[in-house]
Amino acid sequence: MAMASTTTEGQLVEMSWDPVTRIIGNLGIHTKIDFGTRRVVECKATSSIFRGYSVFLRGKDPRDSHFITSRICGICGDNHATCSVYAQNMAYGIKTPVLAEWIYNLGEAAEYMFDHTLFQDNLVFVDFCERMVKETNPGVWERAEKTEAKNAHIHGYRTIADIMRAFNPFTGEYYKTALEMSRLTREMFCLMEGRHVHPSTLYPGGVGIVGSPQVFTDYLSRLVRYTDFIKKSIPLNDDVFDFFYEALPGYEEVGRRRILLGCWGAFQDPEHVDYRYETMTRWGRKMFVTPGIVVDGELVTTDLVEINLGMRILLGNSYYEDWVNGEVFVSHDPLGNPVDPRHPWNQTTIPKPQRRDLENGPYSWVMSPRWHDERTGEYLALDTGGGPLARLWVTALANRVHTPYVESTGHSVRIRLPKSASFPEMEFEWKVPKWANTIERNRARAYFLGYATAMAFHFVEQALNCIRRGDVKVFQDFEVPDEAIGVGFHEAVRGVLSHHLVIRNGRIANYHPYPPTPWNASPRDVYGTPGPYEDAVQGMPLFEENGPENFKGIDIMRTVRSFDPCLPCGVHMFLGNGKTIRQVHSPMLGLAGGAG
Amino acid sequence: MRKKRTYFNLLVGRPQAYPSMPSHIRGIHMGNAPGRYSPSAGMRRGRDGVLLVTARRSTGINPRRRNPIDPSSPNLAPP
Amino acid sequence: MAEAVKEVSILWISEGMSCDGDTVSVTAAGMPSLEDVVLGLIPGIPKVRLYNKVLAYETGEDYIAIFRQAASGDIGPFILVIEGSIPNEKINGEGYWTSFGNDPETGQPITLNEWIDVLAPKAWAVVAAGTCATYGGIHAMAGNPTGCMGLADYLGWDFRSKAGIPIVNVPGCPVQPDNFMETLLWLLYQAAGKNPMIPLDDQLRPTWLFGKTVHEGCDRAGYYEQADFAEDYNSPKCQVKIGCWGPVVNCNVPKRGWMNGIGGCPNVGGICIACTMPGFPDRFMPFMDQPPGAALSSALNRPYGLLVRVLRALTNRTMNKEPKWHHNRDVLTTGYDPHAH
Repeated sequence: MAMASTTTEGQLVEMSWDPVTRIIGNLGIHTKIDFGTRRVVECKATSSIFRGYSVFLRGKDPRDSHFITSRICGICGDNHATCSVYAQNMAYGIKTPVLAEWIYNLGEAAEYMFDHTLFQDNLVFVDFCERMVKETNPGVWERAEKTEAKNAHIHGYRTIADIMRAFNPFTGEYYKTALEMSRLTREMFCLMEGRHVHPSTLYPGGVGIVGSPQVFTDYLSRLVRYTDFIKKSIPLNDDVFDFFYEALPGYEEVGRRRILLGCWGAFQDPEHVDYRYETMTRWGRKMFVTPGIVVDGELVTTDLVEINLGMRILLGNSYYEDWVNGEVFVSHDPLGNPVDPRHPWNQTTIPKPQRRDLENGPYSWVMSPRWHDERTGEYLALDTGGGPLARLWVTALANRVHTPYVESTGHSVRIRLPKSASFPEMEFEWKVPKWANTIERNRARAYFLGYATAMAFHFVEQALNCIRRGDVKVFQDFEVPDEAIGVGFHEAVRGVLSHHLVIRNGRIANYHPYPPTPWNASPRDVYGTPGPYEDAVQGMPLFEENGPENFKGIDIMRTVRSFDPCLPCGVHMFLGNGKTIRQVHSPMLGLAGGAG
Repeated sequence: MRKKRTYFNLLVGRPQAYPSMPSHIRGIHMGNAPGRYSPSAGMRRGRDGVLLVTARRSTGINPRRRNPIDPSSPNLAPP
Repeated sequence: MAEAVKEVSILWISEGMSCDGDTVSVTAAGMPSLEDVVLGLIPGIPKVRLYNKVLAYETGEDYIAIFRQAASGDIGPFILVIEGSIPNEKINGEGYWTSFGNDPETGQPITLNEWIDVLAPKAWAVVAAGTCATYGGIHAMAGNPTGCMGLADYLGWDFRSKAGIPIVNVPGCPVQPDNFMETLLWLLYQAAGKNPMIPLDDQLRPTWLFGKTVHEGCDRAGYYEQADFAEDYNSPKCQVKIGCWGPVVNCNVPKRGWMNGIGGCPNVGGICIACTMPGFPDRFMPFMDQPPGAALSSALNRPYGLLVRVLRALTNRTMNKEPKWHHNRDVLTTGYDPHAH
């Protein structure tokens, strides 16, 4: 239930949910809801765990940075470690050996398989389970009991209500199976990266895993078992989401925002990647998840250098000293392009913890990452759609991924899963949807699980080919230069992840990771551009049947969770247009909640 | 001597550490250092940076007898 | 021994300065799993109610209600689990480093420290999950702005819960899944009156989990004994010369694997960075440098190792030959004699 207080504006009620559960990290959502028109009028979010990564990383040995930055996040820490290794490879002038690159890809694929399974089936689907639907939309529940599931012949649940019963926490059959699958996929992860969530076997220059047939056949046997599960899961997801559109016409407006998606690419191709900035445009486009930016449905770039140069960290109403007149670490990138003072390479974070002043002064600890679109001059508040939506959308439009297992077509992504114990070979097609909304973000997550599974088959084959030719090199030695810069681009489970690194005197002089949540949860910036959460929640219609007395805010919670918020970055978000209801309480050094 | 001062709103006392304290000390051997392959490692740098391995990589007990007998087999030893 | 407890709540607060990695790690446990415990499938333990925000059905006030009730002393016995480094709230003026929920009257955030102050004295037992909560961990490294620490640094190392139990530290970054669940299970048996006081060492770690060093449990230790060391990360051998701290670290991960016997650290090629230790991370950085003791011990070991390898090679050669009476000739030469006794 929400903490509520009525205002004098008739049906306008202030409601908060703090803490939001079934996400990673600490988040509070504060809204003003008009129960007359059943719309959210204002929404703000705060989070208050400050840790200070960008501060205490300074002065340290850069070889430690992937071990340390892994600890930014307790569910996707390995994404940080991988991204940090990419940045270090660039700084040290080395590339990962071929077999090790496949090992990274296999580990990261297993991470996506684990995390999306756990998040979707054990956290998100509780919002769609029997108990929750009965408590929030009894009318929908009645209809669900009578609606046959279109794909019952694949997943085995006859009605939508049967599926919702299977989502019940701890007792539902699907819930319990998913928890077991999340363990199976984590075993796959451990085979490649040693331990979860903070890997032990990753190093700059490669891995410590010994290349032998054993580790790949151990992985493959588990992958085949997981494939059976995902073949049932994708149609089951489609059934539930299509049912919601049908049962609640207008639900496509829930959580809908302008299509402004960013994806920084995942899964390097060892035939092409050399980690040099000068060739990054080329090898970025060879990644097995294409990097790119989609604006209003149009793909505007797939060039990682262009993406890099467009990154800006804007201040708005935040508790920081501006650094623009301070030290510039990187004036030009290795290709000679000028680098903006507001670029992460040049960011210096000097926090000033103070009491929040809602009326007059700064009230937030978040900065606003934005992407500067050269064509229009706009500072775009990109979001990741929770991760999978942006990845699938960009890859589909870019039409660059063509493998036997995953094929992009220009308007869709085809995913081919080989034969498994209970099913023959099956093909799924994710088509670019009409809207970037709550339902489509969640649907994309199920399809991306198929994508990761399919690519994992490709990666295992490639890795076994290395073994077959006796190519077992997994580590490239190196020396740490006294002065260097590096950048890593990767996809964390929830979306875009970049690590910008500056080395001076052989030590870290500047390090700024930007995970997906600061992008997704950024506040209104100095130009007045609102952040993605604000767009998505504010103005949205509410379908819950409860009144203010026992309002659960289920449509709001579904929307927030569709972005897969991961707050250990310590984000402070303000999504409203002017006033915060709750005070921001902890000084947030570091990024806009990125590794804060 | 002042024991405490305020530094951007934080009460700071006499430091018991400094930021680069746990960083590299010159001369200490680094695991990533180049030039570490030898017959006793069972690893050798081949042409084009290829890593050539023998069974000595995985065992110190009669490694020569643990190499594959067929020259077309890859040299794969237990992890 | 105290009276047996029939029902116990687990109040899990991950709002220390945390990455939530310990909560996520515990969902990987299989021996026992969270569901096994929560659904009452383990005989002999009290009924368990788990309150952890990552898995909870309720949101917001509905979720935090149980914590408020515990603070007023209105619930039965509970085990308080803290995850994340404990911040120093004395140094930041009117600011806060962490918070968990808001004060219903003032609307102000309630810091983790305030929750600990109120709940720890009322708890049946207090458990620190993960190295951040036990010893400060990563966020406490040199140069950090928050001044954070472990739970025992905050509450005092001689703190005793309502049932007379010291703080139970289960370190690990993150905590190894089954290490945590086994510790929890001991405490649940203790609550049921079946187990004596949980055995903890001087760093408050369960002795049956942390009483051995990484090296003592590592399957690469045989290379060390033979003075056969890895010189780079391509090698499957002992990694003490390339950064592994195993010989001086208390941890069981190489012995039991990371989960279900799969994975781990030096046993699979990942140098031990000592993430269970109070000295982590500062005393072990830079992680890829050779630990100081390794140069000495590997040098001392060398003559013995070389000799013993030669001797073992001789014996191994002999053992790899079949006895000469295994043959395909037309006579039996096995020494078969029906009258022999």
